[in-house]
Amino acid sequence: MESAATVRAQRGDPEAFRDLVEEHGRALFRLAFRMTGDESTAEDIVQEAFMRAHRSLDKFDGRSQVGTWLHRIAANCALDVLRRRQRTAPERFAQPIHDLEGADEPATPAAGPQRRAESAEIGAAVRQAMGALTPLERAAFSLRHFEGRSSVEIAETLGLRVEGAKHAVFRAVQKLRLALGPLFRFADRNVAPKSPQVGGAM
Amino acid sequence: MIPADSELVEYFYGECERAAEIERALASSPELARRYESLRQVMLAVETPEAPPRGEHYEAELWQRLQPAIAGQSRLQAQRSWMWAGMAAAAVLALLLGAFVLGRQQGHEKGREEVMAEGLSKESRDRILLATAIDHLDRAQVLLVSLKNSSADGIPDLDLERSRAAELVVSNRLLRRSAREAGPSVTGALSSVLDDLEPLLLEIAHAPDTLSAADLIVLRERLAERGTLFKLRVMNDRLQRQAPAGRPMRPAQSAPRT
Repeated sequence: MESAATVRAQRGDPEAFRDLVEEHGRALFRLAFRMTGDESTAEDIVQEAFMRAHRSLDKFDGRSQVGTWLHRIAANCALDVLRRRQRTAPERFAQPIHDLEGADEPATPAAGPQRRAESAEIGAAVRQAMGALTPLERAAFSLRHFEGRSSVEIAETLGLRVEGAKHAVFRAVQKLRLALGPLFRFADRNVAPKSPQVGGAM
Repeated sequence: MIPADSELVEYFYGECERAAEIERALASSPELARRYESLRQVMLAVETPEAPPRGEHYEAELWQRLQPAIAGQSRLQAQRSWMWAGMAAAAVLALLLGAFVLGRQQGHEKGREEVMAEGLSKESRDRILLATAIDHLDRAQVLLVSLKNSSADGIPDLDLERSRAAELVVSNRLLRRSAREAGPSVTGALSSVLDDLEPLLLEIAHAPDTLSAADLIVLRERLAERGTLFKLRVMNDRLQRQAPAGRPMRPAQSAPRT
């Protein structure tokens, strides 16, 4: 499903490639940020993704949407960055994934002090737990949990078998449960089952 | 049934094949329901990070950052493909020339038919020569069109054009010799077109770094006076008509018609 801009870009028209950058730049930034949790790294990933895309435009066969193709390239750039980060600066790798919940910000406008403290504690724990995932687990989990991608799509994006993609997500979830579970107090009472979050009613 | 944790994770994401069975199991087993609830709470705590907002002109800024690198990449790719095409053409011509010379020398000693049977047939050599000549003329046209269309400020990438012209000078000489060896029945007036082309290629190849607007005008005037571009196109069309369908060994792209 090649757009006119893609076809022109493949023929070497720089203005057409500019159209692709303008159409997909923001989405790639969001993806890169969600996967790495770092603003400047996400910017670098967006640039690297477009450079890679430009180099391999002739390999784009139009079987998927160009947005999907760019998304895949950016996800792999992000995975490469996560791997490099782990190799070169493991201490940085464990840094917070985002500044979503600053310690001094209330979780909700009406939240009381105890709730705010709990929320900040959970936020910090989530960031730390995400930082402890392996690059592949983090990439697969981000695509699953934040981007709502199916196991098949994750496998295609990261070049894994479907079972491998499921396993990477599962390992990530297990690690997060291990790290975050103690923060939640589960009542020793019967709990009614809830519907699934994705694809379900939740 | 007692679902495994991996199934509960898939169920949470709405991807479990046995969702109905898990629903029933959750309804009938408080222990399982607690297990699932603990998973669910943890998963819900992992909220989607809100990406920092980008400015209104983010796309334009992004393109500004990307453009020089993209342009450099395009130039490098073009240079590589040009270089490979030039090297391939030169190699083919050198081999072809060798075959012509060898064929002529041995032809004096043995019968001509005998020599043809030993190596490439005359038809094959002529076909290869035609294809290589068409490719060479295509690439020369690309160069001359870029010269003709360059602005008064100068040639945008003089280094690139100079190296292209230098490569074309080499293949121009080899091609001219091969064309003479092959005889006028095959290539017609190709040699004279190549004779006309060479001084222009040399001028571009040796153009100074400080090519002034006046120099550029002189070059363009020379190109127009000699009608070299027109002659190249006429010759190219003629050779293309002469070449059999599905010409072999034609690596370069077609020249633009500007």
